[in-house]
Amino acid sequence: MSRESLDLAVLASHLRLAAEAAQVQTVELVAVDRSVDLLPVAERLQRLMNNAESPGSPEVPGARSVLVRPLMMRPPAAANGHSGPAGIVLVAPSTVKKADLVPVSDLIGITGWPLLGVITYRSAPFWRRGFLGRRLSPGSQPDRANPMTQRSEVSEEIVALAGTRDRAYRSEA
Amino acid sequence: MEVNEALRRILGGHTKLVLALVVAGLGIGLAVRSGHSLAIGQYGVHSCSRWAFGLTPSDPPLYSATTRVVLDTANPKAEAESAAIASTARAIVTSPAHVAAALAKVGIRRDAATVAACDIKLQPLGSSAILQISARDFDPMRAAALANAIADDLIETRLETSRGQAVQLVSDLDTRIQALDASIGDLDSQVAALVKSSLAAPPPANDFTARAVSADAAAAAARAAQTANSLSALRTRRGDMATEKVALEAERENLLAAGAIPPKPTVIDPATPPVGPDPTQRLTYVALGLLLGLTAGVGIAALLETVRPTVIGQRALGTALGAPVLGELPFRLEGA
Repeated sequence: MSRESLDLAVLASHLRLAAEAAQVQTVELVAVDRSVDLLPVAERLQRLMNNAESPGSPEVPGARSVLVRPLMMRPPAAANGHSGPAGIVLVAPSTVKKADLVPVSDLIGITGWPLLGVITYRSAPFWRRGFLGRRLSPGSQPDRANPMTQRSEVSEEIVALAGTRDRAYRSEA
Repeated sequence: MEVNEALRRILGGHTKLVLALVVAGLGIGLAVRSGHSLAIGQYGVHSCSRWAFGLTPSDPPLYSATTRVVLDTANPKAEAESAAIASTARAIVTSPAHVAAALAKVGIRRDAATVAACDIKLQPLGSSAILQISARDFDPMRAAALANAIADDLIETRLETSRGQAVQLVSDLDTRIQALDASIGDLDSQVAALVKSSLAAPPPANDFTARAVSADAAAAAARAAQTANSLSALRTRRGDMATEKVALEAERENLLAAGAIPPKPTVIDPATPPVGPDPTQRLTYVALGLLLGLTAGVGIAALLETVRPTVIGQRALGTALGAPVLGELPFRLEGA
């Protein structure tokens, strides 16, 4: 097993422990940098948590499967039957502006989902970042001309998730 | 906030900014070159430093020649007095008109204002009345000549400006004493001539008649009386003049004894051509530039951190959110 796989397996085990401690069945990955694609990371963590990435490992009897997925606006039908409680895991670079954490706090406050923990990744080297710490790649730059592209997108997502939570409460009742 | 965290946030979060300003400061330190202000002719500038983009390797070295002078002032009792004397002298030697006169005297064609502002330096030696004048030029001979010309000009100017009433009075007394001496000399000549003329009086005629002898005697007596009167008058005038001279000399001695006459300003060590060029200050400027850039970078980074703080590191992120750190992804995530 490579060093990378080993580190990722340890991370997956920590994530599973956190999910079990919080008694959640769904882990929603939230990135601070909204241009980062979390789907491959979520899939790998999901496989590791369910021992699918190491075929030789025995299946833990009685262990519940935990769904790991990136948080995104989705219709209720796309939940694939997972209607259990969810928790949020923040995926952030090791260096982040404090102001960038505010939308995440808003999301946690509105959804009521617990913050299971933080997964970090190494920031890009300073010579690849912008002069004041912002990446200069066109895809990562928010469209300054359209202020609706950032906060409004998060707001829409928050509203949709709040609706999901309300439906979950109603079904439990 | 711990110092460690502060350093990480300021230096780690704004590495590019700090590095950019340090490099900029280094560039400024390399570009600014003091001592190369002697641009001649159409390139003459009044600034003592200039930006050296391009032709810096071809800039010739500079030479400084120094001379030492003492002015017509009393010996200072403290450094403040010495500094005051130096300030007075500096005001004279850095006057463009005086510098222009010195340049013209030694035949140097340079901008007097630039030379006065940048290439003429005067400083006191400790708390003494001795002043050191430095002049700078591309040529060592011209530097020495300029330093000596500036020192001579300083002394002449001081003599003109500081010649006070007492000096003028003594000078007037000297003039009057000299005039009296001349007058007394004239009187002595007149007395001698009179005595000589009386001795060379014509002998009596060979007419020995009583009448003739009587007439000769009367004429001789009249001449003798006239000569005696003239001689007496001359001697009286001479005596008066001698008395006046003695009085004037006594007055002069009194003035000198009272210390009213200041010491004479003079050059005590003329400038000689320097054997080597002045050392450059490039290293100093580079160090200052680096320090300036680092200070500016850290300052701006600190300001940015104050306005828009950064969270650096796993632990700081977990603490900020109040959540545990589950781990770090072993690969780097890139934005779309």
